[in-house]
Amino acid sequence: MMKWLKKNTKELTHTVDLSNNTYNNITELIDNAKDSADFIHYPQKTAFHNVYISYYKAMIDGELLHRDVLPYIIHSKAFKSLKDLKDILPIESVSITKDIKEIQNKLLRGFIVVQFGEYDEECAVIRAENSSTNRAVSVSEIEFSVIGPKEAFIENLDSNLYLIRRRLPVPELRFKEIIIGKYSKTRVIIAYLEGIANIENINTVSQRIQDIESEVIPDSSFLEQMISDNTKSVFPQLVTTERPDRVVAMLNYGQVAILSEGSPQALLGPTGISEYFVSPEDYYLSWLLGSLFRFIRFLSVIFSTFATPLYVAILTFHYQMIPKDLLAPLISSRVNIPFPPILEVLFLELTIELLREAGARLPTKVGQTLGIVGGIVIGQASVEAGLTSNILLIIVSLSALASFTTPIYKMANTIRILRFPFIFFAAIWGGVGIVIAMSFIIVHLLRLESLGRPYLSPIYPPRLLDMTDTVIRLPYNRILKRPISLGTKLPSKEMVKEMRKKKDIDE
Amino acid sequence: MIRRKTLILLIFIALLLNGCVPKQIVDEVQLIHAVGFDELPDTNIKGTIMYPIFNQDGTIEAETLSAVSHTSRYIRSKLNTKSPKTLTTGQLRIVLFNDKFAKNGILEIVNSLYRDPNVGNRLYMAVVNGSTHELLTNKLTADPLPSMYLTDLIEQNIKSENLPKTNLHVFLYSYYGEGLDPFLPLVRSGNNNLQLEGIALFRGDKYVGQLDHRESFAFKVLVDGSKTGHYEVQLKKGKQTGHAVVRNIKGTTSYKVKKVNGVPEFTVKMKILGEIHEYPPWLNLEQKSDIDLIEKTFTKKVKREAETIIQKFQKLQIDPLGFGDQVRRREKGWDYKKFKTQYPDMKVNVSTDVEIVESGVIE
Repeated sequence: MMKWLKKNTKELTHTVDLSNNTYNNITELIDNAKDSADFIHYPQKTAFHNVYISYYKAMIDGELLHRDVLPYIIHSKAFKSLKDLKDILPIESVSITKDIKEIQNKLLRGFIVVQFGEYDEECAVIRAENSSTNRAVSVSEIEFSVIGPKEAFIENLDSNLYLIRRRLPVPELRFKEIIIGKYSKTRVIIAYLEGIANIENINTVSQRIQDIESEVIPDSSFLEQMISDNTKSVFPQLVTTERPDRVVAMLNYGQVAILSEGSPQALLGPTGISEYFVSPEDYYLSWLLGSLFRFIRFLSVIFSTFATPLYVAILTFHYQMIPKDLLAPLISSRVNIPFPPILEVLFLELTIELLREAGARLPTKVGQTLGIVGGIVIGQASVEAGLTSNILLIIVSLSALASFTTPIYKMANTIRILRFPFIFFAAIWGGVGIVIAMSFIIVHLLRLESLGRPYLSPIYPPRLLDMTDTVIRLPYNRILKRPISLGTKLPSKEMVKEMRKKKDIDE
Repeated sequence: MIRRKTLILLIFIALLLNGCVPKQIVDEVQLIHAVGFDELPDTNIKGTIMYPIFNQDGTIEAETLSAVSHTSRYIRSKLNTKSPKTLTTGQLRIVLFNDKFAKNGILEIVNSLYRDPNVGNRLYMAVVNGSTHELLTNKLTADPLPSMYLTDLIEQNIKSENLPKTNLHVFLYSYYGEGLDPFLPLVRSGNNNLQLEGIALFRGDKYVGQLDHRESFAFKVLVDGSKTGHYEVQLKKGKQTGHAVVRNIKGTTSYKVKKVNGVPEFTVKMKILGEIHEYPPWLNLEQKSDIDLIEKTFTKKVKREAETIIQKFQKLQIDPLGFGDQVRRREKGWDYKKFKTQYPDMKVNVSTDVEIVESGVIE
């Protein structure tokens, strides 16, 4: 009985372990590679010998092969042994090796292999990677800002590293490379500023990344989920960003950045919850404006989470607390509605979620039409049909709007689903239910950690000096250079005093 | 595994307990807005409730139901037999008592009101000269709902006129507090409108006397100090007579108690800062003597008014101003019963000080 509840312990046997799939010798390697249509392996006459040239056609830069490799190999009189290639080719990365593992890896990453015999063990490997298919660095779309830099990361790791190093031209900026993924052999870079980032954080990140046992890493989001402290949480524990300026600012704060090949998003950690509501624009505007907008963002999160649950709770249980002037519009808009408030709310919330999902899966132009059709037509029609009250329509669309203000997309999604448990609890126990759900969330947040550091800091544990840059952002001379909660050094009192002093030019 | 089982159990309990909280969906209950109680022979009570009907087009209609019984709660039960939706008290705004009914005591009803958690403490209560049933069934011109009309009327007069702060909480405080007696606003209904007549005075829970609108001015200053209210005085200068209206900007009262032979003796000091709103044309406000004239007359009048109402209270043996409370605050081992015997003959000296601080631009 209840067999389906028990864990299926049977091992899956049909997968082949390809992680150590190195061939034993060069003959095997080449013969197997020939099965792929894009593998080129042909003899080439040169001044003195016949050489075999092999490469994966799609992986190499053809122009480079024709311009910088073949002419020298074919015509050079100095080409007598493989070692001579190092001197005659105008390419810096030429190596001579017999290591079958290295040859195989490099061949698959866009290197050209040159041998004297068809199955000669000694090979020269020449770097000729194809980079023309890379997307150009473009404007950031997910974390858009009106002022400030607009560059965003792309799918090419090296150009992402360039975007970072260009902004931090110091030797202290370290890029630690780890290769993970049994099949994908994905390059993952851990970036940090030596001497600023806490060594514990770096170790935690690199250890967790090294421990990942995965076959393919398509995106850095995979890494995020795999190295998160609590994988069951709905809250993201690492900031996902596509903005190099954000990464640089946070590296300077002492955070660690993780970038992976093929992903236009970098991960930042350890983070506190308030960081997910920070937009780079807060720093580019004056502190008063920045603080105000950030405050509005926090308010909108609270509104977006609690507006519809409160509607459900008040209309089902606490009609006493409706102000007398609000009573008439509330009731007269609900008079003909056949559903209890919970169904009414779920109906509208799900409609909005549908619109959002559909809009996200469609091309931009179709998406716009869909938004108009959905938002205006369905909303208006369902009010007229007496399925929902128009007051609820306003509340739901406002709370949907408010959930869009969160700058980090993953957090925006969390806010988006967070209201549903609240709605259910409100429908079961009313206001008490909301309090119970809130307690669950608070306890969860208190226990949550980001790379081993408390998620709610600096609110709890309280770090007063760090609070200058959470809900409000004080002027730059009042903000600490680096937050204490990231494990950077505590500033002395003199330093804080000095920081707050007004600095005049004629001093 | 144990954790998962407890979790499943918790969810189960949550779903089961769902039924334990009674649902009161706002459009599926009948919200009583106002209740009125009238006197009938044989200790019967006639209860009238008024509830609003909200139409989809935004219009509101007032509906009334009435029933007769011995207790207020059973009246509601009887009323439920006439109503399609459950009657609830959560939006109760005002409770009205017929004057004859109030003379026999209202504690029974007030008691059941404050023990009902659905009823807010900011509920208004009022005594009506005449039938509450008629008042509630009357079609009024200013507001389709008599309840809203009344609450707004009372609220407005507390904010800007001579009515002191009053609600269920204040009533209960002065009813149960030693050395204090409650009061309520007094309302009369006329043709298509309502009017605030003054203040109904209570001894315990029984309605025993009243103050009119004019007397309420001094009463409000005496009770708790006041920043509102208007007062009209008759002026005489030589042969010329006329009336002036002074608005109270800030009125404060201080009570001093002295004990003479064990009997408390009060010195009540009223200080009123006023603003001249209207005055006879023969007065010249640029002359100090003319302003002094208004101040003097005003002082005399208010003083006399205050003395009259205090004497009235002593005669009725009621203490809405809280003289007893003033003594209790200052004395250890205070004896309420002893004070009650001393109260009617207690000496109260009233002194007033009126200062006209504004005579120019008025609101």
